[in-house]
Amino acid sequence: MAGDFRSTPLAYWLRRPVNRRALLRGSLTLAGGAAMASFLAACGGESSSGGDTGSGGGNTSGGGATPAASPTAGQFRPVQTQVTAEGKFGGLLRVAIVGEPPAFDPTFTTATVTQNCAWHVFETLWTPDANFSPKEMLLDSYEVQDDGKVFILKLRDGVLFHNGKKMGADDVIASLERYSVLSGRGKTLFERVEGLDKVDDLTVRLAFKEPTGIAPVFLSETDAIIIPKEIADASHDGEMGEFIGTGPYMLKERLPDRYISLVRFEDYQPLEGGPDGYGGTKIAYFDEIRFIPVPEVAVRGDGLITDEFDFADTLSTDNFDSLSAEPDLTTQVVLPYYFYGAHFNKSEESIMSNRDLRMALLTACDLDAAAAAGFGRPEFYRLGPEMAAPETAWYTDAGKEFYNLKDPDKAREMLQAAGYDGTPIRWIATKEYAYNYNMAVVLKEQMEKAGAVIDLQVMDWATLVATRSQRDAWDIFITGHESYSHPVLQPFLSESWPGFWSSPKKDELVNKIIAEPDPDKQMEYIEQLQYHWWEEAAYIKVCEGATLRAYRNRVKGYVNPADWFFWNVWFEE
Amino acid sequence: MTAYIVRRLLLMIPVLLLVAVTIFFLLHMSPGDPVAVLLGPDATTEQVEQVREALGLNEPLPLQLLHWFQGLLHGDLGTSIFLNKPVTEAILERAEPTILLTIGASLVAILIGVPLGVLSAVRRGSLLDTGSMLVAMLGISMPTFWIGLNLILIFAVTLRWLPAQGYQSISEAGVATLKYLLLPSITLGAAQAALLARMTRSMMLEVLSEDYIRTARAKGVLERRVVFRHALHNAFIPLVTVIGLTFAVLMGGAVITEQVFNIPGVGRLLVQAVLRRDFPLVQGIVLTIAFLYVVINLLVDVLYVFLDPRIRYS
Repeated sequence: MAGDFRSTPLAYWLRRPVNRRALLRGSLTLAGGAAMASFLAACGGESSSGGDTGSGGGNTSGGGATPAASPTAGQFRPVQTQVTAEGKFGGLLRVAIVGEPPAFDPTFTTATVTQNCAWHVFETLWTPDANFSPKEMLLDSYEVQDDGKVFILKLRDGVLFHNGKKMGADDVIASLERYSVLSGRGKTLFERVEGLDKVDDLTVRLAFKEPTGIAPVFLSETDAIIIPKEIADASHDGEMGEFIGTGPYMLKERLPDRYISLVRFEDYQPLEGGPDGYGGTKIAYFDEIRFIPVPEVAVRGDGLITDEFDFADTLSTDNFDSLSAEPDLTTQVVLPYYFYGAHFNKSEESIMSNRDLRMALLTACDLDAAAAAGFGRPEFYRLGPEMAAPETAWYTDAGKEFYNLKDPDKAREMLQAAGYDGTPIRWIATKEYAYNYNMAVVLKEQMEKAGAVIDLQVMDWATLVATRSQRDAWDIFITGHESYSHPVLQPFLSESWPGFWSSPKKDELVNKIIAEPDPDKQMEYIEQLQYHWWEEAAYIKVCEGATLRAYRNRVKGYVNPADWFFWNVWFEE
Repeated sequence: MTAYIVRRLLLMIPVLLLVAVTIFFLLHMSPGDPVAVLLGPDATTEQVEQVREALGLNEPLPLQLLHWFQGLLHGDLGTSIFLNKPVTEAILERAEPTILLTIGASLVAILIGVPLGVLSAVRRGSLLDTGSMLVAMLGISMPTFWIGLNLILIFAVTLRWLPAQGYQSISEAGVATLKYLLLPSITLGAAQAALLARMTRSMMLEVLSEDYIRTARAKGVLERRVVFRHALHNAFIPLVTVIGLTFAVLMGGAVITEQVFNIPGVGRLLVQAVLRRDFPLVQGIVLTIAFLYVVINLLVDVLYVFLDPRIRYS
């Protein structure tokens, strides 16, 4: 079709397969990881302190159903397409999750545990495919007109909400208007929007002030869910009270701290053409899914062993060997997942607004040691300067000359040149996430070797998130970000996100990426953005850290995605 | 007696008022922002401010306190920020497992602690005495979560006799609810059993050295009767205080046990509420626990009258 985004170069680029370098890198790591796993197994090696990566976590995993004897450590693959023909209907799937979601509204909260539970219930116009690129979900098709300024969105006919109402243009418009108010990403996208209008019951016209080729990437994220107009209007500036979506499962019951129960939506009309990443054909095989909040990591593992859960999220990497040795379990190491590192407070109120000072500290860091402290064994992390994982289409190693320099002597000189007078640098850390504290301790020591004075303040997560919002209360803190997201979706690019990165060049590059319809040019801008991120020493990226998940062997069809989901998954005894 | 009870009930008001004001200011003055947790790690400071404003968290503290007190006078403990429902409703929903767990743990404490203490006192200096007190010392010293995790490892993971975690209400599971409560009750009751054993032992030793015990023995009263009728009965008055307080302590102690065993009770609700700074919920739960403490204390005092005819309240 004329102007169909799928036939544009951007669409091709977004969907293009992993490049040769990435493939080679993945294969080498796979071989290395497997060799290391075998070696450790042969030696009876014990894991070192692993990180409970519960924090703002999403989720991913490597291969399909892998026997426990050969865990998937070291397999870094994109989400795979599973075969659904053999699936069996029925059963109750019990999933141990890291805690009670703060809300069940993915537009309202950015908590990953909410997004993972909620996207069984809600759907978006586009959804990430196997290469994390947007693919139509609630859309039948769309046209891009006026050099990327206008998107004509044609909705799928016959899509029903869980309350039986047919989805139409009014629902899409109301949902996106709500998204533009409540979601940080929605605000960013809608600053460019000129008009959002109904053409007919199944067609919406989304017009931008300037070309915005990246709109499908934004609208494939879980905060851009489509809900009935009545609910969207009633919760325009707050959390919604009713949870009605179009997904393959619908919410039956939410009993906080006990479980969230989803049941199959019998009138769900799956897309044809087979599953593709997080989209494509979705079949709800289970009669019911229960997400059970289990905050204690040890209990999640124990409950899986004793058959009280079928699937457990975010297990202690210290238990990798013991869980892998259980004959009834399959363990999976999840990468791509999150990358972790230290954010500097770049606002005027902080000493770290001095770019040269930031660069001096970055130069001092030995990131191998910090990554090992945070994630233990080598198969649970990988180093690199990239903002987006090698499995994505947005991978680049731009800025590598600033990465992992391990030079305390040079850093000492740079500190002096930057005019550092020994003022204590306030580092806020939490022990609630092991990686957070462990990496902070190692990096602190390295920076102190170069002559910096670090005041490590340990607090709980709620205090940390409150403190980091105050521009004058801190200088450094650690957190993680999705490594499988498009770089422009990263929250730290916003000046109002803690870190407070103000940079005209950064803003210019982000705008160019959002506007650019040509994929090759867009990739150039992404490279420049990543380089600028490093040359400004905006963040000390330490590593990408994996998370460990496990499930009972009777669970079939699970493909180890970054963010877990259980459509196209079934039981087979 | 009635006048005494009425006076005590009236005295509860300033106590609870003090608790309410203290917890309110302690919570609001401690760092941490519920909205930043609610909106997740990627939320911008603008979004956080927007929701804080909508929830009234930016109002001056005295005004927030006033609003809360106005609600309290109408029996309204407020609305939970995260659960989006009245605090009273949230507490009542979680009350069943916590009450059952407290009763279970109290039974464990009394059934183990009292007999062990009596035996140790009667066989003072024997191997049994030393052994029991050693076990009691261990019981007091071991952290609750450590006992819990070890019990899970032995009875759930290794032997597979009992579930490792979770809870099913009586209406759902009937008698099977007990299997979810057994390990948590032992975990929670262990330390209190040890404490009770040591208390019982000292009380009994004190009473057993009294003249009237010697007289009873001299009269040829059976030793069993001396111990249970003459000694234990009299040692029981201070013990009732300890048992009463134990019950109150256990209500609060359920916090850790419920977290370890993943039991959706009031204790776990409190932990989650504190971690997320769900101010109205924390305030409501603490106030409820304080209320129970005061009531249990009053009940213990009233019970004295029935246990010891010499005690009179006027």
